[in-house]
Amino acid sequence: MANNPKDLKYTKDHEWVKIEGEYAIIGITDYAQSQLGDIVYVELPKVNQKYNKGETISTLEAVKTAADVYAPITCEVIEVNEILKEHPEKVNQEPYGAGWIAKVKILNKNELNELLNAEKYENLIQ
Amino acid sequence: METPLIQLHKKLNAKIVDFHNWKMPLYYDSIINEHLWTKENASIFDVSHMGRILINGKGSIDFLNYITTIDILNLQIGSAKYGLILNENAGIVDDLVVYRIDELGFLLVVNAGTRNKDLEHIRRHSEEFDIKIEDITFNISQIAIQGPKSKSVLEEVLGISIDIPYYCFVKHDDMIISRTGYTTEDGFEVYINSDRALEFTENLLKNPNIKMAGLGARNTLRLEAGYCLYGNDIDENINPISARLRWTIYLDKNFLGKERLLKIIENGVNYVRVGFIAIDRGIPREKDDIYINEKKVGYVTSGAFSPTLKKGIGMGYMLKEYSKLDTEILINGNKFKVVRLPFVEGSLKNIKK
Repeated sequence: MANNPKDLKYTKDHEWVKIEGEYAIIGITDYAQSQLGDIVYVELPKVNQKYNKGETISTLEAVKTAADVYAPITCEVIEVNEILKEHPEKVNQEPYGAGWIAKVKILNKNELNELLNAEKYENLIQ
Repeated sequence: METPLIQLHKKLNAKIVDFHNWKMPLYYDSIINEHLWTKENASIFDVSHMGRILINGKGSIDFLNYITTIDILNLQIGSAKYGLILNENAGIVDDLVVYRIDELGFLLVVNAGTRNKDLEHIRRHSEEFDIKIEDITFNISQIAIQGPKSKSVLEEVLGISIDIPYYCFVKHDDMIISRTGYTTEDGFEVYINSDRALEFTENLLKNPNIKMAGLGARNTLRLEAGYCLYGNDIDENINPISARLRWTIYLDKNFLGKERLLKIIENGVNYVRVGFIAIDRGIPREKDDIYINEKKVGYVTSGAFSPTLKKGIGMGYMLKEYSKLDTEILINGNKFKVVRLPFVEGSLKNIKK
């Protein structure tokens, strides 16, 4: 399970965050997608919508179960991964790449300190 | 608890989950891939978690006739039948398959989650009957081989021909091979000594037409077939008429729960089991409510994405007056319509008479 990129931040709810200055990209971890199994629908966040930290930003429907994705930080969505509408399986195949869910504007920089690094996240899922 | 195939599951990187205290493979690669492979080729399902109980003795016929809904007197040696165990209130204690091994010997295959309850129920009602009860769940393993190529793969690997009708079985070496299953496809279940189960499975896997499939695909395949899952679609609070399992009951005999059942048949039922499919998108989930025009008319007992139909499908109970075919219903804000079961047909229909 040591395949979680070191340059990302993580939450205990299995989201990842890639910080790029004022902005961030959000997705779910490899562990999360393996727990869900085949994802068949992705309900994407709304562009221009503000989400508080912990609010449901997206819902992933897998064959047997569904899971909510929570906003890892307070943010405003500026772009969503439209490809997932047609190819939800990208979340399973490339959770850290083509399976990203949203690009957001960071609204509260202080919250970034609360995110976990890869090592801490891996301890959590072991 | 673990089945004799646990090391094989781990070696194949299965995602292991707890299923009624058994460590079972949910999937190896992907539920969808395993499901679609089964419908095209053949798959092996480790179903050793199911309960296997032998009933022997002079009173076995009378006892099983009393405790199950099956016509045991007319169950031929070498054949099997699906039926129910009911309680006094005609609630479903379990659904099961009864195999007639010889004149007085029967194999009962029951659900994993109900095995202990069933054993207790059987013992409690067996006092007046001269029978011997033996739980062989751990001594004998159960391997399901399902899919249109299951017959050719099994015949090739075993070097014998297995031309048996649906719900019949043959003995071969120390095995019982029955033409039964829990999918829309042709298939077999092999009962084998637990110390030989791993070797047998590994031999089968040498054939390129067969792969392992997990409980995830087992569930989507049974749901497409419209089969009930005990604990979801049927339980002690559901009667067989609501569950539309009237066909599993032989009424020309005395059996536990019959008196109440006759009353239910006479009075009719309010709720019936139905199948439904997404009109656009959305997947029904267990315990979701079913609405028509903001009125709650039922609830979901099983739901999943159908890999064959590429849509959400489910089963549940609806007020009878709302349950007509093609009725549009709302589940979690998504539109569904009531459809006939099974959702999907497969190679099984060619071998069913």
